[in-house]
Amino acid sequence: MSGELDLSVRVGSVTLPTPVLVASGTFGYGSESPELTRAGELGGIVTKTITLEPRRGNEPLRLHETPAGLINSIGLQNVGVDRFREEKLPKLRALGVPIIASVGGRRAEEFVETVQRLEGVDGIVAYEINVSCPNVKEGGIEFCQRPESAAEVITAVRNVTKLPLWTKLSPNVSHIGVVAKACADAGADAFTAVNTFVGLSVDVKTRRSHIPLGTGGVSGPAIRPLALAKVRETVRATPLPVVGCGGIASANDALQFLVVGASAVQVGTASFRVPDIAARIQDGMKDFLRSEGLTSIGDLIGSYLDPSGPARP
Amino acid sequence: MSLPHPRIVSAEILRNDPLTKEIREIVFRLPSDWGPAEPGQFVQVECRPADPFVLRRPFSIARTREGSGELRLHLVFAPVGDGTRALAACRPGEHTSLVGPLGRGFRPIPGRRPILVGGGRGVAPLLSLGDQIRKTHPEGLLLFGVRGPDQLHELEDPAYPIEIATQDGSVGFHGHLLGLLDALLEEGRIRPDSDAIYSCGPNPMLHALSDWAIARGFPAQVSLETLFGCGFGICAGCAVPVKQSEDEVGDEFGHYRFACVDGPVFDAERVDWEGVRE
Repeated sequence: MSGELDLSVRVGSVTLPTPVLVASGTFGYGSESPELTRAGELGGIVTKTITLEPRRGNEPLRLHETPAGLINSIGLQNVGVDRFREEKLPKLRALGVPIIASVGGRRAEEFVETVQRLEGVDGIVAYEINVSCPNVKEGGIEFCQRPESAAEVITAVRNVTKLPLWTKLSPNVSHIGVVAKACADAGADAFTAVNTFVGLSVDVKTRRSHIPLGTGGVSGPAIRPLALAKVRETVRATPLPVVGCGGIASANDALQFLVVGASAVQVGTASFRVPDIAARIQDGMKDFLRSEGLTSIGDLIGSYLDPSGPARP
Repeated sequence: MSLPHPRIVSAEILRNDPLTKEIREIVFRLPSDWGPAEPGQFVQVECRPADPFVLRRPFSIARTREGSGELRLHLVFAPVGDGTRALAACRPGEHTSLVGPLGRGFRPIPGRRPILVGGGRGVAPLLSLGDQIRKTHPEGLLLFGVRGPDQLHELEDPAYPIEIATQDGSVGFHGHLLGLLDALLEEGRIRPDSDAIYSCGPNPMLHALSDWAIARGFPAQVSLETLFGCGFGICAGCAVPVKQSEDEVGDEFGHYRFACVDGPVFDAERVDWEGVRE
């Protein structure tokens, strides 16, 4: 089998050169050590979550290693939207890779204002709306915990931008599909599934959590099968495209997400261990296509033989 | 000086031997064009544990030695956790993956006599610092503090005369490094107006040393021990609280720096020790 292999995929109206992106919060602003990460070869870079004002982040320790993964409590440390636009974005844009700006906020208006300040800026192809942020109007309960709160954010942001809105879904809800449907009705264009799982690790000698704030978000291969099931549930819930995320550390991992219906994937924690793992995963995908006699990655997307029937009959 | 780009390399283990009952030295063969590393920089090492997904472990570079078209990288470590125990089990001839050189190292102050202060295996990066500055700073001292014989090992070809402090009094000065510094200061053998301190060791020791140095007017740089997620600035996990300088007041973001890219070496007076986990 010879000829060009086609790794390009579409997530709604956005065409990406490959289906492998790097996840928000796990790749800095994208331009740190690009020769080490091979950032310029990727399908897309999702930025660290950007907020209206700078955030100093949580007190240390912010990480604790757990079996096949880690718990993090970073606290959305970021430079704020203005410094992001002036200082970070030009370097990121120079990589020539599609940029998805992850946006967070404490109230819907903050999401809106942050997006407004990014509007018309070159290089951003979509926004990823981080609805796992605490909502101050609801006593700090995350937006994603209530489908109507998540939808309120999407509706508000929808009014101020024409760029695609990807909603980053939390797995820490009873029915991810219900949240997805509410966001779809509010004008979301795609989903990223999933964010980290809430976790806790305790030092039995001090009787304290390993991280000062108690619980944190668990990521890494430990969550991969959990995330994959959530992705399948999301795929079945709405006709919108899903970008799969959660514990992907190899091409085989990534392909599983595509097979169950994700249009693309995001690699996160694995980049900490192998800085260029996302690019290596792309290489591995090509090897798989060759070994299967396929020419396009699109042939694999949604090819899952689901025992409960096709996603959208 | 602009630092070389860090790289991912597969490195052959040439030696992996105990230096003492608790401390080991591991030596890797690297491509000759690796680096050059700045003293105080570190590498992230894949420790090859049984669990295939364990983060790399950071180690300060103890020494690099060039010869016959290759570079030898020396690291000093104690097998105390899953990662380091797995590294201790690696055999010569095996390969493992290494990312580096990473971080910002020591910045020797011109014209000041270096006082290198190493607590336990923290002495390691001070050896490479000595190697680098012995020509420009011919005079200096190397202080090596340990609990007792289980941590005490020979230091090969040190740049400066060595003073040893042991907490059990088995060798050299009987007591902590700060006691030794007090004694040297009293004897007039170290002076705040002409000397500068460069240190690496456990964080509680660095905290005490920073307070000591600042109170007596010694400029000091310390290499902090922290947990890293990535080691190159993408995960925001290794936050170090710093005191804000004049031009940063009002910049809420200014409070945290990252040990992996802004450090691991910091000016002692810059670190906000109250917020550092020890």
